[in-house]
This record gives sequence, C-alpha cells and structure tokens, in this order.
Amino acid sequence: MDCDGYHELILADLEGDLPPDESAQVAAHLAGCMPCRNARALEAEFAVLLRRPSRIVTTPDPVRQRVLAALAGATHEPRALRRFGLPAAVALLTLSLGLMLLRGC
Amino acid sequence: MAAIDAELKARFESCALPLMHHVYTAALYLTRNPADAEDLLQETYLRAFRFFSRFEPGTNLKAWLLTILYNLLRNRYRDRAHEQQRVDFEIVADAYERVASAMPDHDGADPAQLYLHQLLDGEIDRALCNLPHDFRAAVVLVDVQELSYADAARALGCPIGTVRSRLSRARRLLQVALHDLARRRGLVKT
Repeated sequence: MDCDGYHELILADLEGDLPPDESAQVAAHLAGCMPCRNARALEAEFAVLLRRPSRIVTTPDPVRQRVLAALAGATHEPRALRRFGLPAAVALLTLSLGLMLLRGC
Repeated sequence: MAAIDAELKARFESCALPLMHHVYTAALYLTRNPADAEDLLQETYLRAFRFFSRFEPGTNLKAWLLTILYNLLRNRYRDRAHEQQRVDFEIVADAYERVASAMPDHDGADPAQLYLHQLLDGEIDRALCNLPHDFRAAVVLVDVQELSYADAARALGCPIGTVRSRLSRARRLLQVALHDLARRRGLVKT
C-alpha cells in the first residue's frame, strides 16, 4: 500500500477505530515514513480543532420553543401497532387476496 | 399503557432534549441553510419522539438521533438535483502531499506552530461547508459530532470502508483549502 492508501488508516487509527492487526500495520509503516508521520501529526491537530466544543451551535430559543411546541402535541407510536402492526397488515393482505381468488377476480 | 408512555416521555425529555444543540448543528452543516435546518430539526425530534420505544437504551442516543436526521434529509432531497460536485482526487492528493511536506518534521514540531492554529474558527467552518455533501457528512458525523465509524456508517447507510475513504478525502480537501487560504493571508510561505 502507498502513503495515499495509508491516510485513511492513519485517521481511523487516531480514532481508535482500527482492529489491532491493521493498527500494527500502520505503526510499522509510520516507523519508516516521515511524510506519513507528519500527516498523522497534522491530522491529530486538525481533529482537535474540528472537535472544539464551540463548533456546536446553540439552538436559538425561538427554534427550541418551536420544537417543544410541536412535541407537546405529538404522541408515541401506539404500542398495539408497534407489536401487532406488521403481522396484522400481512394477515389482512392474505385474507383480501384469498377472498379475491375465491371470487375469481 | 398511559404510565408506560409517561415514562417514555420523561426519558425522552431528560435524554434526547439536551442533545438538541448537536442535532441542530448537524442540520446546519448538512443543509447550509438555517430555515431548512430548523425544519429538519423539528422533523427529527418529532420522529424520534414517535419511535422512541425503538431506541435501545445503552446505545448511543446522539447517533440514533443523527441517523433519523440523515434519513429524513436523504428522503427530502432525493428528488432534488443532487449537488454533488466532481472532485479530481489526484490533484487533491498531490496538493495534500505538498501541504504535509511543508510541515516541520513532526518529530521536532510544536503543534501550536501549525498554520491551522492561526486560522479563525469561522474560516474552518466555511471550508467545511464548502465540501461536497457526502464528504461534509462524514466529517460532521465523525469529527464534529464524534460518532464512531460504525455509528457514522449506520447513519449514512454505507459500509465502514466508505466512511474511512470519505473521511480521508474530506480531510485532504479541507487541509488543501485551508492551506491555500493561509497562503493567501500570508500565514505560510509555501
């Protein structure tokens, strides 16, 4: 694999998102490749900047109030539908098809 | 039944509502338009409230909310001409190599000296907003929202390998754009 291909592995490794064998492969490459060590340092710094808590925008109060007002009138999906909705729909469809066949449509 | 729904509602209020800033931020980055972001935020919360019994406690609620948001976004914009810009990644890879090689060698470098630290947060935001949609979404979910690759892949509806490659391309596009900006501002010479 060339350095271009290692870039995505370096990023995933920084996240702790690589399996141990791939992480070891990255470490072995980094040990002998200064440009990739530089890229890793650059990306690690960049991740810090991208994750600054200030990047999370506070929801303006009128927007928040609008969402809360919408939620006040909302309901949870009825439990009966959750549990029996799909089987009931399948049964109804089967029954209708059966009736249609019986009638010879 | 009413007691169960009341419990569900209370749990939604104490767990999901405090994440609203995160959901709103993602909506802003992904729509790049405050009015669309507000609509998307509201739709996301309504849907999340409706289906909250399907959320598995102990898993990442922010990832669950952002998955709903991304599904809504995808459905909403399915009919619109997709704004995917074409990017020549060979050019980007070459430019990135120049950016990384212009860095002082990592072994002795002070990270605070990086040109990145001299840029304003708003400049980084603008560069992020200028990324093509799929690349922007990967950075927003993994970097800004700090989702794991697995959670980001679920939200985006793509394999983890795609998240890895989109993120890699996105980061290189961003670095190249920001380095270019830093050069125009005279913060770096090369």
